[in-house]
Amino acid sequence: MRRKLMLLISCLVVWVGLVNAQVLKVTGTVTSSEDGLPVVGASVLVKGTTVGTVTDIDGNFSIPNVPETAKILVVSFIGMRTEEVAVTPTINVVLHPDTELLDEVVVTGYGNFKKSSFTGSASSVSTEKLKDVPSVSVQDRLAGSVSGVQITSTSGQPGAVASVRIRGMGSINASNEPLYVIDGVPMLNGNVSEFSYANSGNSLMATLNSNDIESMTVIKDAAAASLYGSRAANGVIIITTKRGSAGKTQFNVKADWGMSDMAINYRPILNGVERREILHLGLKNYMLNAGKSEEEAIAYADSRIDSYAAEPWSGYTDWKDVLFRKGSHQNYEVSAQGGSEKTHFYTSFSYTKQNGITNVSGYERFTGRANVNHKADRVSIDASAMFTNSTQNVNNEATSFANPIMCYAMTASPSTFPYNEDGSFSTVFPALNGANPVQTETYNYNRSVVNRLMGSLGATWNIWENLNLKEILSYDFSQNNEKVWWDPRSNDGRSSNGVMQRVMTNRAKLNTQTQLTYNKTVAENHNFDVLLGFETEDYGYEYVYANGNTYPSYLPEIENAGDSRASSSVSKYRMTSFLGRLNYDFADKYYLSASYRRDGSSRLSRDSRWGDFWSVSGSWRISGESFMESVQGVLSDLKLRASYGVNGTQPTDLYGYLGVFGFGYNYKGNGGSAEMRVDNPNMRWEKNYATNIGLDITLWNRLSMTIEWYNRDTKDLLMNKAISGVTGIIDGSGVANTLMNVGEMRNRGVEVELKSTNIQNKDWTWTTTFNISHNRNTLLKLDGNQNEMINGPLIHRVGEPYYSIYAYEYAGVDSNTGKELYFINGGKGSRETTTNSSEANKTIVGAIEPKVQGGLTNFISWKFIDFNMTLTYSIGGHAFDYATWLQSNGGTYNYVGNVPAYYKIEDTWQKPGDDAKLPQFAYGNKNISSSRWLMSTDHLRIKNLTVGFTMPSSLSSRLGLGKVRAYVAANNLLTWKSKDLYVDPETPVNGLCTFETPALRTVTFGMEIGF
Amino acid sequence: MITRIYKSLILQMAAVIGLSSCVNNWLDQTPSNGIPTNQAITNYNDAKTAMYGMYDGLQGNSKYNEYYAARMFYYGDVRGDDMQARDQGMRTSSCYEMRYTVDDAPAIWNIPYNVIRRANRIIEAVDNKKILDADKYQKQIDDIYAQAKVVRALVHFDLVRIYGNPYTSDNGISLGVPFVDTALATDAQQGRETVAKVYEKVIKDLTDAVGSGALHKSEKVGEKQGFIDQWAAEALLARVYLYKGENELALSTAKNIIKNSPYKLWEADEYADAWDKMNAKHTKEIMFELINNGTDDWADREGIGYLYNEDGYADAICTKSFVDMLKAEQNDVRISVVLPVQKKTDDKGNPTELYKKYGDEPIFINKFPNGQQGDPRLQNLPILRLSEVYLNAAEAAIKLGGGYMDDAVNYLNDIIKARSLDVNSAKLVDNSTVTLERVLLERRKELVGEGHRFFDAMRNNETIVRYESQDKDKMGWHYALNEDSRKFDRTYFRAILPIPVSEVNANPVIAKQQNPGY
Repeated sequence: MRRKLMLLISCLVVWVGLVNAQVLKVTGTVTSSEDGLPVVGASVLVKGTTVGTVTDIDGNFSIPNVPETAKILVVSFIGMRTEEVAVTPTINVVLHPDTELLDEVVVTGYGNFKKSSFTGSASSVSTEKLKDVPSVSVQDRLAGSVSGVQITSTSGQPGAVASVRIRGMGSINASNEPLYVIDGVPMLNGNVSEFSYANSGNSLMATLNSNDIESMTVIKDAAAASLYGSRAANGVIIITTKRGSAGKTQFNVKADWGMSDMAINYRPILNGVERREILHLGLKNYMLNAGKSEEEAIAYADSRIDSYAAEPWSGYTDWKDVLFRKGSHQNYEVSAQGGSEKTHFYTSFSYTKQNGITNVSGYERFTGRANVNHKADRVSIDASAMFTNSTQNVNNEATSFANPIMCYAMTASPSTFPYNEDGSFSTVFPALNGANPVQTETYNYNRSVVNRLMGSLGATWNIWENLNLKEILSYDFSQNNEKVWWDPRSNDGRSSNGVMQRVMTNRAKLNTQTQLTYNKTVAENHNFDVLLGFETEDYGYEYVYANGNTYPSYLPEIENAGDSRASSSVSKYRMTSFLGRLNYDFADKYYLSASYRRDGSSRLSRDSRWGDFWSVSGSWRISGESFMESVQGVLSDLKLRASYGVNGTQPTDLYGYLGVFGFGYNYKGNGGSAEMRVDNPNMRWEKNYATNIGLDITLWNRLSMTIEWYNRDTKDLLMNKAISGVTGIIDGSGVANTLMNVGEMRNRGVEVELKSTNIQNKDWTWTTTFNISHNRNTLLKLDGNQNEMINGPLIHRVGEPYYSIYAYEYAGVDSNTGKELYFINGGKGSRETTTNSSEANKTIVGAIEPKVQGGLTNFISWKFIDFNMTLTYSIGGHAFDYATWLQSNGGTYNYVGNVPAYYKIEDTWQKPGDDAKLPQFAYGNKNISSSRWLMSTDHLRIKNLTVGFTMPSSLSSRLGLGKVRAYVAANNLLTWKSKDLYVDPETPVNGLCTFETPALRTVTFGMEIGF
Repeated sequence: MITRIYKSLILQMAAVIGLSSCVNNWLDQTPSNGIPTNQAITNYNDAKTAMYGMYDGLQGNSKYNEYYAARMFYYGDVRGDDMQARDQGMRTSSCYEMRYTVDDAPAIWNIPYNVIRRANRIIEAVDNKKILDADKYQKQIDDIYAQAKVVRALVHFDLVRIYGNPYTSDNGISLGVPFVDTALATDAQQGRETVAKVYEKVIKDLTDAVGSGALHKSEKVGEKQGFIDQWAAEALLARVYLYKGENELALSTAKNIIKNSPYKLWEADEYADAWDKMNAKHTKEIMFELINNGTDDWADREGIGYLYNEDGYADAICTKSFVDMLKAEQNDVRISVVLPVQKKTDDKGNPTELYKKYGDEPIFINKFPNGQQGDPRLQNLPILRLSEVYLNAAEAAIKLGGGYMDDAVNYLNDIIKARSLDVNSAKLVDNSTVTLERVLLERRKELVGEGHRFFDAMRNNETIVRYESQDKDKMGWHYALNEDSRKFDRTYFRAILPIPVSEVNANPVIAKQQNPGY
């Protein structure tokens, strides 16, 4: 009995001792270095195991079963650098925020790399600070943040397509837009509108909720982009959406409201009284020029003035008031993220509504997203799904009679009026053939509903050690349901008694990717990383069009129409690719990388179908060398890198190489056929050869600088070579041309990026990012024969930038006759002038491309206030006012329409001997395109501004909430531009401005609550 | 473990190799809307379809409107003194004002050459024996072949009238246009041939077609409405001979048509309504017209019907001098196809702008009437009409003089009678009173709105006077024009268009051959 007890006790002791020897209890606290406050929900794990826990609301944690053999604890939290600490019974861990300097991660679809070991040229944009910017488009968040990236927009209407140019324009007839990759999958983007009544189009990118984006990386050189091969000649923008992380589930609710108006004073015009005065003067001058006496001239002017500038019954009309309104912006969003070590998720739902400044335009969007990641034994699974429903309403643009911008700026003079005395719609619109813009916008509409579904499923199988096989399947589907209704009572609909046009298009892309990766370290210092891949892409486009006309009623659906017709078409393309990459580095100091990709596209004939794209790159981390150890304190990082590679671009036309007889050339009810396209079997890939040399310097661990020089030669550009019309080969608009791979273009430039953490302590943070870039675009070759191609005022001449303006060179006003003077620019380079434009020679008067552009961002936070401001600037660029009808000094459209505000009578020429700023204003003058209409686009703009106030966490935690923040955010807040420029400085890509809707300035107030 | 790696690697390699051979097949895609060119015209059905495509080219559409869809008509009308652009900024204003420079001049070039290419594709397919069932359908194929030749001739004839000096001004020694008789390659750069050479080739194409006997010889009107038959080809040939000054051949060809074809002149009481294509009498006189078939096969609002109609763009109107001339003869039925403003008041009873300006004066040409279908855009485009054949005959006869005077008198009187409301009080001519001026005056009254006046004036060395002086009552409805365009004749450099600037930029051979003054 006593022996049994002894045995029991000794067993107990041993057992307890054993247990004690096996596990340890570890407790501690995790705090943040920024504010000293506890980090709630940080993950604390025993390294290499799944043993761990999560910090509580006071930042405390307790792990009762830490194995004794365990040495290291891994503490991590989103947005902060992961810390590894040694195991001790009590630990206090301090986490530092990810300062984005040395540990910046470059996300490519083919692996994530630390910036310090990346040999290519890439810049990351943290979207965290820009999450409040009130803009529908994602591209607005990129503006000014990355050097070498230029963002312009076709129009200020909500949902408009934005153009992004990375390192200049590389292609003439194929796309110049970069490839957009979302979570490793190339996504469809671009204009999905099927009608061209509005220049803005309907941007597919606008279906993306910008707040779902964790980070964006812009890849600029060939090496980083070469794995994207055939679509990456213009760079790649990689978007990573939020994934959630292990920890307590966090909820976030956000709402904001605000107003919009025009960002600049667009094309100011003379008011009714001033316009009447100057038109009177113009009539008088017309008579005086014909030799009449002063009295006769005045009598003539008096007799004719009322037919052009009479005051309407309702007084002179201010069309800006009638046709424009204050836009508005609302945004509501709910998101949740969280998870455990094995599974984490992110989900969000948001609603955005942006009304534009014209009475009709607006964009409304519902978006939902769910991203889930799960790690099973050897397999990890990533799934994501996004669904968006958006509605866009647009007004007509360009020179359509219904364009409210053109009505305000040109065709609706103060002497026209919207309503008659009895309230009916007025039809007195001499420049619009009686089309009343208010009537048009009351009855007609142009509406488009886009439904988009993007889903992807990926699995990574860890076969053995460092050998992984990854497979991704993704499907990107969008449907655009668009309607254009011209009411029978409106000018557009009258002759057909009402027209309804409906289009339904489906765009679907199925993408599969298979990647095999292997990495190995040999002899301690040699690290290898190999990737082999196979991809396919299958894209289908379906188009159905129905048209109804002759409506007995005002019910627009086509079942009510008296007459109808329909059309449909289908097109597809496919691509297959094989790719491989090898990365090698030695001791984290010398890096070498090579990649190869072979693409075959259905858009080219069998002989020319396959393209080979490759790159080599290397970098030398000088700061890792032993001789640099002494300056390590100052020079934290110094890296030199260089790359060279080839990417390509496919032709835009899906069947462009095939000469075909098409149908639809019908006559007398019989189907007819004719040549639709001429054979082009030699059509091949456009190629982009890019060199990049960069230097990365980081000083004192707080100032980092990147300087890069690049050269981008694009060859085999598809050119619409203008051919003789005598061949009878014409395109859809009646122009005689054919597509050939003949062009060559070069973009060469320098980019500098500076990132500095000026202050970072408990209360204050101040970081500045500055970037500046210079790009020179040169056209190297057109089609081998011609030296230049002229397209209206644009000239594409070899040796000059692609977009240059070709016009008579304006020399001021002739003091004798009051006419415009032009430099003759004859053979001897003489500077003689003439008033007769046909004696003068046109010359290149300027280029559209700016000399220098970039942005400056400052982020300042003090205790609970945060402030972020991004400025964008551009110097040395031009735009050309292509609204020629306004430039005539008294021609037709000044008399039936408006007169621009710069026509002050005292500035115009009155009599011989006058040294006047403006030519004589006279009835019957004609407009001549000259350099007088070249405007400078130099500007400085406060692009984004956010000021936020966060409730102190002591208060908010008492309310049971996480983070409570109120903010004011603005987009395009202030613009300082040249006095001569009366349109928005973010002009269309080719620099020709007519009547685009100007950009919006939006200011919103919002609230954000996290819990 | 090792086997697992090998297995996955081998699987991948096998997949890659196996796939790459059928990958190329997977990547072959054909469009949903076309046949590769080398397989396009290989049988009779294809030839017929291509023929419809060729006529479709002539008819044009809202984008291809620079030829017969619109511009070819108003070019010949508003550049004369019988019609004008209604106001500044209209589509017809540039042709009317004649102020253009080489950079902004109107052009009628690319579309016509495209029609020529469509015709040449058919001609080549037949000549190169590409049509495999030709023996079974010999007659039909020959007909299609002849039609293609006539169309090719018509288009070249139009081009040389627009871009080259009238044949009669210098016997055709000045430069005309390139004559194209094959489907040219994309890098072809042809130069201009002389006007004489172009006329020679045009006449050869026409005489080949007319003499081949392959064209359908209609025995009743409207048998080949919308297509070219034997009579239409001969009518065109008569016109070409007249323009060339070959008056004997013009007269004999015209006489043959007048005597032997089934076409007859419209009576005065039929005239106003016969312009509507739904009217039973429409095809009685119309020998060749281009058909606007429906709302999916027309030029929509860019078509000449919409341009000339008050409810459309109301782009061009008759000049006051012409309307006064037409009204002077009260027996003349042709005033009924010139309409005054219909919309006199707006919804609230106030007079409309048009009515305030023009009152009850007839101004709008109604040869493309709203008609039974209620839409001017659906009306056909008249190209060859029997009245013109009569007038060609009368003009050729009077120019020949001598024994041909009787023909001149007879054919002119036929027209006068057919256009007189009261035949008995018609002012007929006889051998002593008939003059060339009288014939040309009748021609103006008859063919207004059909694109003839300007070409006739240039051919006959007449001077076009829009208005005499700027005094309000002398100007009629014209607005102020440049002095050199107000009054001009065929020595004015703008009487012919400049070779389009797009052609000059792309074709260095033609660049050296630009018309003088530009």
